[in-house]
Amino acid sequence: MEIVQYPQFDEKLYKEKLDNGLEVNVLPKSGYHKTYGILTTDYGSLDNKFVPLHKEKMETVPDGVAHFLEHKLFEKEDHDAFDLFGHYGADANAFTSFTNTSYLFSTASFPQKSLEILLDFVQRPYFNAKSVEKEKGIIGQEIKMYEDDIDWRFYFGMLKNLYPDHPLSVDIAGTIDSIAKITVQNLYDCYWTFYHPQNMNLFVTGAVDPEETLDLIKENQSKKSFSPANEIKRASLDNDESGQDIIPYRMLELDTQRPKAAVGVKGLDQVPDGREGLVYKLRIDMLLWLLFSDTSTNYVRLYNEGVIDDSFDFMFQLERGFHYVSVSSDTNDPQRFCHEIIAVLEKAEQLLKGQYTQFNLAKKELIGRQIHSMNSLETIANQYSGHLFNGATIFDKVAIIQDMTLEEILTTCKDFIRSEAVSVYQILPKEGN
Amino acid sequence: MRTEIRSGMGLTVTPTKKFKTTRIAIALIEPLDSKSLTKRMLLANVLEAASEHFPTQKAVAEKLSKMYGAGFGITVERRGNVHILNCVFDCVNERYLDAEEGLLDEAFAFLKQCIFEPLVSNEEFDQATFERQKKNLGFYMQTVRDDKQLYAALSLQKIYFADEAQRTPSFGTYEQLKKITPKALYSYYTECIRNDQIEIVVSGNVDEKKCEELARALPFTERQEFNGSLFYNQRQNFEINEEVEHQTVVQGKLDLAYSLPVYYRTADYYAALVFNGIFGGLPLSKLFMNVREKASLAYYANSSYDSFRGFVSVQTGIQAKNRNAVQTIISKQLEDIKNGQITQREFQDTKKALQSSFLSRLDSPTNNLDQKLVNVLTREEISVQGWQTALEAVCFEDVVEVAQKTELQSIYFLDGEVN
Repeated sequence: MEIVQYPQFDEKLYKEKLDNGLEVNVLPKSGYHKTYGILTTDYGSLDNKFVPLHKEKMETVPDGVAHFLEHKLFEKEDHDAFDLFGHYGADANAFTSFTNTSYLFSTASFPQKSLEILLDFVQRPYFNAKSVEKEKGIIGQEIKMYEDDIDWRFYFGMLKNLYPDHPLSVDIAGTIDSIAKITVQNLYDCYWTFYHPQNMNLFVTGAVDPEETLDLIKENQSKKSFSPANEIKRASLDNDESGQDIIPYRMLELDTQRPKAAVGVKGLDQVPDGREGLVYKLRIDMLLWLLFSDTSTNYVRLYNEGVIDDSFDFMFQLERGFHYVSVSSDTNDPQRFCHEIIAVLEKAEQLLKGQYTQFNLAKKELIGRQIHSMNSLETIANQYSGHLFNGATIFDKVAIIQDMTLEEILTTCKDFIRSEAVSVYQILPKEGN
Repeated sequence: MRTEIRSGMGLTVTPTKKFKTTRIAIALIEPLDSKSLTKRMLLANVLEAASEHFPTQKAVAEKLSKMYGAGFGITVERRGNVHILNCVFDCVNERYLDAEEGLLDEAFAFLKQCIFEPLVSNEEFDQATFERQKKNLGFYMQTVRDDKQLYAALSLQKIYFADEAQRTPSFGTYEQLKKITPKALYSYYTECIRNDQIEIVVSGNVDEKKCEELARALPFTERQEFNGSLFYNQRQNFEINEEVEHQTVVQGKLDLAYSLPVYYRTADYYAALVFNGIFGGLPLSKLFMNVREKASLAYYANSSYDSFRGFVSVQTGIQAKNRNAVQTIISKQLEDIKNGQITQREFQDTKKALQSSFLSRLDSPTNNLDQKLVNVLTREEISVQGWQTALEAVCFEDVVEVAQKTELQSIYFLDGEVN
């Protein structure tokens, strides 16, 4: 067991990689009543083409399998794991992203029992045809709910521009047609390929004793046998690095109240491996903050001129295999919005050169925000980076931000912002609205 | 414990080392009035955007950045018969920063400037700030229609409540907004500053004496405390009112409103919590199990209980064509509870879940502060142990009895046309 000390924050992280490959992190929080545990596999909706375990050829599974599997893993032959958590006063949930699937519980009653339930239900799959059919109705409703969600459509609209013909442009849950094709065999193939402990990590935080917790996890794991770890063979995702496949502009008319516009920038540069990847991510976060936060002159001007309002938002998403920026707002003048944002991006370097005062202020802001979020067990555990940034935690971020220089930001800016990587997406109200 | 700083002005400090932040909330409380809802929402936005010291949004944001990413926001909330305009500030405790001492003084000074020294000239709010915030609030009101879950909940509220102040959305109405002028809002602001009950709540690794000193220095004058009933009570109707609306949506929404005249921390309150948990308030509730898990008719189907308004609502997202089937299942669940069809396991698991979520809320600075404010308003503080004992004491019959008081009053159905 390794102990990572974070004296600045009065925190200690206990970590160990178990013999079966499972990565375990425990972070005790004194004074807390609650315990939060999250078990994550490095497998998400993008991983729909791979060589199934013990097979030789690439196979493609229907869109939405990772998410479908997440739903079905709770159900067992004679019980439902959800029920079992409830029986011990725990809340349970799960979520699927493009590159990860996570199962979690939160409880102030029986943390140890909950932890065992978590490990057991995720590590003992049971799928059958009848329940797979039934789930299609529930997930069908979930997909429909998102179809009515304008923000969700807006979000995917940009992804489809930046990544056409790439699994990123398909809803994580799949489509009504694709989930209709999902079979029990698909679920088992994905499960045995991606749910090996070697491909997973467990993060527990809250009212726990680290030694006891680790012992309990080891004891639980020692009762289970796993096949030897195999290298996972995923199809390489067709990610055109010239940017030629990007759709520069699309718009959609919907029964909505106000126009929405977004400017996206696809990352065509290479993200460094390991912790350096986190450094890269925080640099882009900083870059966006400097360009677009409410302390920036760009924001203030556009806000005061009524081009943007409080819905204005910017985000940087970086996961395994892709990264992009999106800057968006509800706006009465979508053309001008896009024009203005692109102009800022194009002269970003020039705008930021020598802006040391703003840079130091932004550092304070971003450091404070990180420390703020250390109050939340969910944030601490959910931000654990796993494979992506070689096990970096939220507590590692402050030092990285502290050490940043404006020159580094400018270099990253030059690599990242390329005019051929820019795209515009708009949702406009239908005529007559 | 609450300390009375002046008549009508209280301070409640909870020192704790558990969190890395200090949180301060200054609440302006007045009796709920349908005529002032919109004004208060706009006032919150105008005060948050600028002040004499920080005349632009940029100046406010830079000040917050200087205080290491401090958070500041003014929110509005309707709770039973009162309206709360809450100025909330939070910042990282200095011990985690390479900062000098004094963030607490700075925080109070900042709040004082925002609340007492707004950006005003000639007894009216700064025209530009005012117009921008007014316009943006108008846009927000417009976009509520795009959030179908929220839209359905607001539509249900509109047909269920008889009282205008309860039916109106807590962010107000466009009709009222149109009429507000910078002058009228400023004059309303001076009334609030003069008359609203003031409750200050602080939590974090802070010194109580120091907080008291800082609170005392805030120039609120003496005023009256709210002394009416906090709880809104509406007579049960014998007839059910129903509204069906058509929109081009993929998923229909069926929302139901019930009257449950059991109020916060009164005799049956804990039984009502258990009832709502079994009915639809928790992940393993009857609604979830039967509408979603067994019948596969919905992605979500849940209930919530408003103990300040004696009101239970059910929300579902369904295929429009299944409306009757869903409604039948929902009614059956309530009937079952009324007839005592609850298993021991359901009963016990619900209690366990409620205990766990009560304790879990203590781990959130936001929930902690909200709870303290409610304690002050209800003049009742209950210990963790006391709460747990009260919940434990709820018996099976109590839950059935509460269920029997629950009567369906209103149905709102948002019909979908697209497939």
